[in-house]
This record gives sequence, structure tokens and C-alpha cells, in this order.
Amino acid sequence: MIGGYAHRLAHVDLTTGSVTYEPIPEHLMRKYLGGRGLGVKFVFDNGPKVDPLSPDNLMCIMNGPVTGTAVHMSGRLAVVTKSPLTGTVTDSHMGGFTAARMRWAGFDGILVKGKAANPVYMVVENGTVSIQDASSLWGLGVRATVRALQEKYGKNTSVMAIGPAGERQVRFAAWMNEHDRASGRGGTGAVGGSKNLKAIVFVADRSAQPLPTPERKDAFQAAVREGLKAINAGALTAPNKGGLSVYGTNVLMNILNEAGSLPTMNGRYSHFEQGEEISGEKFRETLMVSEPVCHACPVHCKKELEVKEGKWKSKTESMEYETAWAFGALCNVYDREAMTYMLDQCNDYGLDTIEMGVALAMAMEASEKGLTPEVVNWGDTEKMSTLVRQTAYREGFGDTLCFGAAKAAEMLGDPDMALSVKGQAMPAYDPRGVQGIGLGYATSNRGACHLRGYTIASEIAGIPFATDRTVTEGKANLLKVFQDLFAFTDSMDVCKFATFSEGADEFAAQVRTLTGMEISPEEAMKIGERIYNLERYYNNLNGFTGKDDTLPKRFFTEPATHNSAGMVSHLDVMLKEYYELRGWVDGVVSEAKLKELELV
Amino acid sequence: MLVKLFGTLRMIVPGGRVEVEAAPTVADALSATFAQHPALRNEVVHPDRMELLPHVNVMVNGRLVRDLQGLQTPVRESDTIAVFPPSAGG
Repeated sequence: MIGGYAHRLAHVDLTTGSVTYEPIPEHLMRKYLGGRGLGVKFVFDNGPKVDPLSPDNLMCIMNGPVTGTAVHMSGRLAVVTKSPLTGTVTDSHMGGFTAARMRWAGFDGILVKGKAANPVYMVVENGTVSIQDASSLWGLGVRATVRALQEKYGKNTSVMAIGPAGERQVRFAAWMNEHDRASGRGGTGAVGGSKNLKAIVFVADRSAQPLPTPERKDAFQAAVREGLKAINAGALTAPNKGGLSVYGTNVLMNILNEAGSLPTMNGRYSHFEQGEEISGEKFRETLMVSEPVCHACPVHCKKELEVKEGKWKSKTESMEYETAWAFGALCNVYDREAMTYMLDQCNDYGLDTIEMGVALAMAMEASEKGLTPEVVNWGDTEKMSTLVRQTAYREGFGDTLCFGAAKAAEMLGDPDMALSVKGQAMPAYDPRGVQGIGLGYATSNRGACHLRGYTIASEIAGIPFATDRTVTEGKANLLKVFQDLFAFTDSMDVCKFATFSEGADEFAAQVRTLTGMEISPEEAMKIGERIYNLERYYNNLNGFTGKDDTLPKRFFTEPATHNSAGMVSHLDVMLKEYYELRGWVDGVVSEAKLKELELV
Repeated sequence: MLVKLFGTLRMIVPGGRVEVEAAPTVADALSATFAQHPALRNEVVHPDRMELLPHVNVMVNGRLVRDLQGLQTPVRESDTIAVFPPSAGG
């Protein structure tokens, strides 16, 4: 038997209330590993034409073979489904302890279909899943929901929940867990809401649960030690020393701003004069109160913030770089307390902060053009906070913004105002000043995203090797490598930040010794490539082609400013080379590639 | 000229701003910075030679010097140098 796995999937039909169990077929472990890869395979097999908010859509809650083990940074859980925001397949991962507890409760995945007649939550414990009445929880925010269920089920409990936004099927609603960690992108929370599923409770005590045995125990422990050594020694990840550990992801704010690559005021500019005020350095200095951790992570990049008094009184995790940018530079805001409050709102309502911030910035530009039903001025934090609430509850203008920046811009009459690709808002790196990430946004299978292929690591931080951010040469291959590697690590499922200090050699060794499957670094990359192509094929079957692999018009026609002055994206040059490397024809997976990767 | 310091380097130089005399190259400007704040040196360059430590990034007007002429990149008095200790996120 293959080591590591729990060898147990639950199939839950919320329409009928039935729960059945089965092991993962061995050939699927070998081809797709777990987490994102297996989830995508299950969503693919469910058929591409399903309405994302219908009972027929499949929502997979997945962990990977290393989840909950001693492998560092292995506390990741993936929600994989068809996105109501983009119409593509999507997977969105969150940290904390939920994923580990799901593994300790005896599961590799929980696959949910159907729609409950009334609100329900699920309890996952000791190899079983039960469905419980959630009438008293419906309408509560994420925090109150988590608190109520943790009080009921005791200390060895992790809870993931949707908030009012998910209940109302806001298209970018998130699944959240008890430590303000979000499965934020793609609207997975709306899918939960469409099924009347309010929460999932995982009850498991690690000390009482026998973990799956590594196939090669000594070698596995050695592989874990090697990886941990790399993390601890890594200049970027070293606990209490590396920038990520000390300041969190928002350590990037000053770097991107200095490089003239921080999209500002909805991308009109690429530098924010007050950028330092919203940087990780400033948040640490002024509002940070603690540094929480995820399962098996020595880096502790999360930073808890507290505004102790005043109208923005709030306490929340964690002002990520993307959030600080979306509520900050993009909307011309540098009030850290107001930003913290809006983050707190999003965490409790269950909203993706990136999509929310980009939608607000779009609304500010639209307001200038007289296209909005009410005035939304740049930097008006009172108005922003009101709109965050209205979006979650789908009230007033919020009932337009709730569809996401792209759809809302279309409804307001000017789709080019939205900084989105395939219907999903872009993150915080300007594709004019950093060429490769633009190709990444354009070709991401889940809409604009930095986490499909993080070329920033190379183009800015210089890892694993440095490339010039201003050039297009070599970026297609760089991106493909990142995309395939991340598809593999998302399927293990480990944190992306592990890749700052480890590579395919280390990851393959961990999986090989844990599972006993003969996975070389080359095979790991092949598995990643297979997953990436299956996602693309699914999207192709939904009508997505090369015409969707593009960027917001602004980045081709309006040059960047400040230290990237005059630059525009040269996507076309990179895209041609990328398709050739992928073996795709105008964004469509070729028959030859499908056969090569054993997808048909 | 202005040398800006970020991240953990601000634990050595609170505020992260150092003014140095005009210097012909980035290396010279950094040397002048180290002269004012000696504790910076070991956080930025090798102890025995003027070579950036791994993943330390230096920009001149937003361009990484690794993409220019490294520490020998010429600078003018009006240029801004930015120094970042190893940092990544996402």
C-alpha cells in the first residue's frame, strides 16, 4: 500500500444526505498526487459544463500526502471546484491547522455535491462525516460561527466556515478557518453557500490518532531534516531573520514600490508616494500584536494586528502584501487603521480582499467617469468600509460589486476599468515593470494570479536565479517551470513559501520516502505539468482559448510611471514562446500534449 | 546622495535614510554608508570583500544593480540607492 495517505475519501451528497467512503485509486495518486491535482481531476470528471452555483457542482476539500506530517509548512488545505467568479476550474489554499486536523481525522479529501434543503454543517471525526443542522448559525459572521462550533466540539477542533458573503453567493466569497486564514480566491465560499453548507468541523487529536506510516521511515525523517535545514538556513525564510519571517509578505511593499511596479490608483500609476506608510515595516512598528503560526511552520509569516480604540477598532490576522496593496495604494489609501478594519470586515464576512480592493478601485475610477450610482472618491475609507459591508450583504451598490471587479465594470459600462483576467482581479505586481508576471497573470488557469507561477521570486528577489524584470527573454520558460513546480507542491500540499528555500529535489525526496512511489524530481515536474494541462483542458472545454490569455488594456496602452517610466507589457512576445513550450495551439491543449501526458 | 535602507536594516538605522557625499559608483556610496553605520556592513556585503551577500538587493532608481553593472554601476548625485535585505513574500 502506498504510504502517507489516509486512503479515505468521503463523498457527501447534501441533497440526499448520503455519505459514502472509498480509497483513492492508486493510479490517481501516481498521476495527480493529492490536493490540487486530485481535486482538479475530480472536478474534471464531474464534467465541464456544470453551473458553478448549482447542486451539480463538485466542491473538493483536499489535503495532500504530506499534510499533517512532520514535513515543514505542510498545513495547507485546498478547496477545488468550478469557480462562480471565472467559470474556470479553481483551487484556493489556506493554512492554519484545519488541513492537518482533517488528515488526523482520517481523510485525504471530502467531496461535496448537492444542496441541503436547510443550512447544515458537517462534522469530520474519526473517519466519518456527519451532517448537522446549522439553522442557528446561518447569518452569523465567520468568527461567531467558529466560536460556537469550537465551544460545542471542544479543544481539538478546527473549523472552516463561510460568512454572510458566502451565504449570499457573493462571487468572490471565501472559505475561512479559525485563524483568519482564507481560501480566498475564485469564490469557493459562494459554492459552499449555494449548497447551504455553512461550516465544516474537524475534530481530531494528533496524539490520539495514528498518522499514516511513512513507507521508508528513516529516509523520510532524513528528507524532512534536509528540507528543514534549507528553510532555517535560507536567507529568505530563516526564522526571525529573513524578511518574510520578520515582516510577513508585506515586506514586499517597499521593494515593488521602489521598482516602480506597484499598481496605484487602479493602475494609472505604478508608484505610490505614501507606499512606506502601508509597508510591512510600518505595520510591524505600529499595529502588530502577535505572530501566529501554521502547522509545522518555523517561518511564522502571519502577523496579527490590533487597532485598540477609535472608529477603526479591530483585531485580525494578517495584513498580507496583496491586501495592503488592494486597500492601500490601489485605492489611494494610507490609513493603516482603516485598512486593518476593512481586512477585519473581509475576514468576518468571508470575502477575498484582493477582489474586494480591486473592485473598490474600479468603482473609484468609474465614479470619476460618472458611471456609478453614487460617488466613490479616491481614498474615502468611510465609503470603502460601507461598500465592503454592502458587498457582503448584497445591498445597494454592493449588489453590483458582489460580482467582482470585471463583471461589475461591465455592468457599469466600461469593462476596461477592471484590472482582471478571465474575470478574476489581479494581484499587486505591475505587469509593465515586471514583464514575466504579466505572462503569469495572462496564462493562469484560474484567472489573474501570482501564485500559479511566481516569477517575482526570480525577477525581483533573485531566486532560484536572478532575471531582469524589464526584459521578456527567457520569461516563458521561467514561468512554465514555476507553474509546473507549484502544481506539484500544491498537490503535496505545502506552502508556496517553502519554494524560496527548497526545490524539486527536496520535494520529490519528501514524497518519495513518505509514499514509496518512485518520484524523481523530473517526475515531480511531469506531474505538475500534467495537472496544469488538465486544468487548461477543462477550461478549453468551457470555451476558454488564447483570446482569454490577455491583460487589462491599460497595461498595453498607458506606460508605467516613476522608476518604470515608459514601460508597457510586451505580452505578445512572451505568449508566443510560452505556447510553443507548452505545446498548445492558441491557448488550447493539443491532442499530442493530451496523449503525452496521458490525459486522454 | 540618498541611500534608503529597508526591512531589518532599519533595526540598525532607524528611519532607514542615510545621506552620503556624491560617489562615482554604488560600491563607493555603500562604503560611505558603512562608514557612518559600521554595523550595516556585515548585513549587506561579505566581511572580506565588497560583494553583496546572497539575496541582498540593491537598486539605483528602481533598477536592480545586478541587471546593470553590479556594485560598479555608476551613480550621480541625484540618484537614489535602495538597499533591501533578503526578502520575499507573495
